[in-house]
Amino acid sequence: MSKVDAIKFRMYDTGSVGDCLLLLFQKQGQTSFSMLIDCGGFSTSTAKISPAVLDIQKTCGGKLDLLVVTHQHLDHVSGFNQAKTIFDQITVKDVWMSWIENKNDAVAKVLKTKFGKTLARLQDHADRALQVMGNTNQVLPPVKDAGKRLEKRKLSMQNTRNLVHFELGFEPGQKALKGAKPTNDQAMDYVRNKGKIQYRLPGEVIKDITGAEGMKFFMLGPPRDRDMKFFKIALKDEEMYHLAMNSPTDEGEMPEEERLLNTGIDLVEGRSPFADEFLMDAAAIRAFNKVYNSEAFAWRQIETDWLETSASIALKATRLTNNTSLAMAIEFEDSGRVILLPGDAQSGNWMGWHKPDVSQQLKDNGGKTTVELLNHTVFYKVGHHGSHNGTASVSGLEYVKSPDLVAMMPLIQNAIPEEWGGSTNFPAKPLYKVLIDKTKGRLIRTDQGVVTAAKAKELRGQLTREEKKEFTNSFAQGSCYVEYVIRG
Amino acid sequence: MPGNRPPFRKLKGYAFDPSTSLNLSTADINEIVYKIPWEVQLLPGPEGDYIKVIDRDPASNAVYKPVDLNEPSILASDGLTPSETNPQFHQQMVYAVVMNTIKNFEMALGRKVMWSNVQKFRKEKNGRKGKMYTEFVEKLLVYPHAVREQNAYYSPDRKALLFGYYNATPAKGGTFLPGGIVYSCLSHDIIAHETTHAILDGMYPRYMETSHPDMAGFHEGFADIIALLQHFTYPEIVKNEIRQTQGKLHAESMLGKLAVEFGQSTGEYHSLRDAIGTTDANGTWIPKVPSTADYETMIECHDRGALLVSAVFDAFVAIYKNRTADLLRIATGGTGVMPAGDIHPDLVGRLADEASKAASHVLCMCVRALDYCPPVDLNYGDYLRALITADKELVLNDDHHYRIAFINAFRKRGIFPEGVPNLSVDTLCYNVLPETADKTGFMKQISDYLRKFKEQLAYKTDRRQIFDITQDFITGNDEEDQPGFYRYLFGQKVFWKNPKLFENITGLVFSSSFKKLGIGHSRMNRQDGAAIDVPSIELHSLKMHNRTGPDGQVQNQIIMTLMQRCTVMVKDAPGDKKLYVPYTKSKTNDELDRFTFRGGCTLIFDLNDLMLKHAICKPIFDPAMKTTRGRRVLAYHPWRIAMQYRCMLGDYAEKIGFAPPGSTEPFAAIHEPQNAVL
Repeated sequence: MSKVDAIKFRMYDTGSVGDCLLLLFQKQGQTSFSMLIDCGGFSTSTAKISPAVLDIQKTCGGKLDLLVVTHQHLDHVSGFNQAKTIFDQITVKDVWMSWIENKNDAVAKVLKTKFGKTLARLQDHADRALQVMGNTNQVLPPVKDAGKRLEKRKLSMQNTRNLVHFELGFEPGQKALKGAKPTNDQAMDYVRNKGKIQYRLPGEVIKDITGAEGMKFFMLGPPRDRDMKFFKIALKDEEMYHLAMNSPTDEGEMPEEERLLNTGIDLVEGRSPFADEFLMDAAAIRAFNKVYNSEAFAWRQIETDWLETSASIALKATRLTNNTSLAMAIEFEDSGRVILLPGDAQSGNWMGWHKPDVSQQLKDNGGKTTVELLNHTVFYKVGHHGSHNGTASVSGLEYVKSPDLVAMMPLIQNAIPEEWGGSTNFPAKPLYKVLIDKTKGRLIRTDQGVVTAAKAKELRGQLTREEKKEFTNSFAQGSCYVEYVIRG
Repeated sequence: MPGNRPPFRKLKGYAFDPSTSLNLSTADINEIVYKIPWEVQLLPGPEGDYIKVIDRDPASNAVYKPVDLNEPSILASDGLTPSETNPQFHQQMVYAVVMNTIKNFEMALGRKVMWSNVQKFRKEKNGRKGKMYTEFVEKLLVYPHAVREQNAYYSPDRKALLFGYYNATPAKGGTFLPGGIVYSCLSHDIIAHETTHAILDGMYPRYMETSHPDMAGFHEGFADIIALLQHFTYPEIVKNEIRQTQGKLHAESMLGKLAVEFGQSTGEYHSLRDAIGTTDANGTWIPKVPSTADYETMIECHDRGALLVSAVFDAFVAIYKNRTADLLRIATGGTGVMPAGDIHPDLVGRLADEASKAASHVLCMCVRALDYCPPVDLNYGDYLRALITADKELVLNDDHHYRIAFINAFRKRGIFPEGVPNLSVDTLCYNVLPETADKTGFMKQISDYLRKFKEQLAYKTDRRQIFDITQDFITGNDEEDQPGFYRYLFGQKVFWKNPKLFENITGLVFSSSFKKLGIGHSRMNRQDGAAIDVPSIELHSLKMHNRTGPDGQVQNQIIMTLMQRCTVMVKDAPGDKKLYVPYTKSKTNDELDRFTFRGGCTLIFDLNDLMLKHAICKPIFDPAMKTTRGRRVLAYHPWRIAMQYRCMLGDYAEKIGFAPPGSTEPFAAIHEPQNAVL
């Protein structure tokens, strides 16, 4: 049986920031296996995303061998709702998701429940804070910058609400209808039923797939991590890294529901933890409010502070979901060349790949440890659209040493939403610089094609004739995608 | 009946926090009686002259009854008994610790503690916004149950301390009850820490700007230092530890271990543990060995704060060792080896007294040094110089070598002041400006003018009155024919005699060069009637203090802080360099990075000698340009502006991890637990 000798890697423009990657495995120029990874955009629409999906349908001939959804974020799954009618006409043989999406997995269940509760609370808090802040009867206190400050606080809460909607899959700004099923859940369920679903665990290596002979699929993350030690790590943080690495088991703490004792008291919103005797009575509260709500005092009130913490938690929640990304590496077994696909994994997920048991399992099952895989990476799909925390420098990029490295960054810069820090934060400048250096200018972006930065041009000018030829011949651009052919 | 007024109000409280009471070795010492200066007008709340405790709990939609500390039954029993379930005790606890912290500051500073002011608009009759004015903030607000999260913070916008409470997670372990409630308003360290933020903000509102990695670290580190040293001022706590060490009286390990335990009880401020050392599984103390590389490598704001804490703590340990060397020689007969078994209680008492004395001295030194700091862009080297100068001028005799202890502790961590030829007490001390520098005599004139200020302020103890008089001196008061310092400076002939000299002294721009640097200006009528443009200078504060040193030395000083600012934009220059030019509004310019660049100067006037003693400045322009020649061109201070760019917008911005400029609640962000509960 002949082996795969190249992969045609297509990165689609979905009309907004998002991932949609089509991998066409080639045997002597013929596609023998087709694989789609994610399909979504942050604030896209049926009209904007359909050209990409139609192109996928045409290219794969209405038949995908493998569909992978890395994680449940709007910018990775919205297409399965928005272009559902087209996907309905595409048949899928196998579906892969991470173990986190397995509704029967005990650890995943605990995580998802916790997370769902958090999201519901965040949304409620943001809504309530905005309600108080938006109260038009309120007169602005005569304090310098009072208006500006209020606007800032409001904006922070609006961003929080948008982030929650993003997690759930509502369009930013769109009112989440009570009882409406979050669209991200819908998309995930749709994909689950699209083909034969398999939930992947870190350490697994899948090989000998029909059509993809000669290829090994190494599962790197997300780490199995019940107490969310890894999932919470969004940035490189040495201390937390050691903390997480040294946790004795993956099982972590026992979930509340399973404990023998139910100690303490739960803080319930609207109910005081103190005995009634300490509460002011109605008359006293009226007197209190007279002062507290007076115009002279109003600027010093603290009515919404307890709700506003949701802003930082919402950001952390988004990172947490990013860390649940199914991260994998695909190896051409003969040449040992590796394609690295981290999804949107942030530091915690990257660190998890290096856990001794995961790395050892990869070695046992596929012949390469995590570090070896990174060492041999020749093609890298940049994580999280080039954000400052999408590519873990210590546990990741530093190990990538191949002189042949080419990278693709799914980024449409001017579509970066405000809640992510706005377009000036993307791509993160230090990361961008390192990527341009490491790839010697061979970096491809959705919005630019081959990147136009001066430094990149300069470095490309220094490539050898063979390298230049290889790069130019492998790169192609379609109406809604950029493409690169990775030789095996 | 002022004569019959009791000197103190005694209030029971936790020395650490409630969890410490559950630890067998510390249970005895956790409950102490705070002695707070008696406030005559103490209303239920408690609400006194300095603070008002408001127990609004919005998450519970409740308000708790305020405690009346003057109620006879409470008065007679030194306040309410410590209890986690009684919110009125929580009110008492925050009141006691905040007031105790204020007391320590006032003792060291020799003047009243003032909160930062608020800028307000006057209200016109038609309801429109009128002119802006500075309003006195008499009372800091304290909300013991403001939020439900593992956080507590000082809100500069509202001049308030907000404390949180939360469900302890089982993973927290320790002495917490899983699922139990932890109140941050019951932790001495958290209260003292947040109060220090508020006091520091009242003195130097620009210290929240991250113009240097040390700036974010200083607020945090200084707040931790105060909280930590306050513990050591209570001899009972140290006594307990000395008793338990049973003769293994190694000062570093004893004090270090104790300090770390203080930190642990809180469970939040880890900086101590990382900075000083750790206890291994066998309970052996492993001190952290400082390195001269620390200053260059520890950039993150918590690490940076810890660096300062460890330096000060190191000095404290050295001072304690020095103070107790003779006692230990006596106790061991010169062998240095203590006999086995319990230590004699008298020796325990004496050692504890020395520790407490050393702690309160170091605390005073640290606080007093603040007056000798520049009003913007402080770095640790500046702070070391301030420490040495402040101490040298008040304490003539340094028998116990406090100053050397500080210099050594800072040196070990690579903290060196800029612009000094070597490290000795003499060179680190800020120079006294020679009288010859003031040939035209206008410094004398200013001092003379300030003497009026002193006369008006003498014997004033009411903080509002002090504020009003100070404001009149700064901005002027037409009714009382008080022109205000600013108009005095520019309007009269004082300053025009030699603006360049004033520039050289303050590092701020007074000559016509201000236009080239983009510094704002205003039009003013000179005394002779001519209208001129004068550069904007913020006269930020004017403070007077009387201090008496241990040798009877009396200090009568006025401290004035001046500031100047400009907005600069950042252009790319060849070779990865940056070019800083004054910002002017235009479409292309608005797309460039820009920030506010400030210069500042602290002027210390000695009223006894009528002279300007020190000018401690952070020049806005390049000091290499300081010449007295006729024409000179001023340019931005290159090192400072480049560092500020790096910290605010460049490579350090993220490493420092402090709240970005303009954040609504900078301290909330920095105190947030890094590993938040989801």
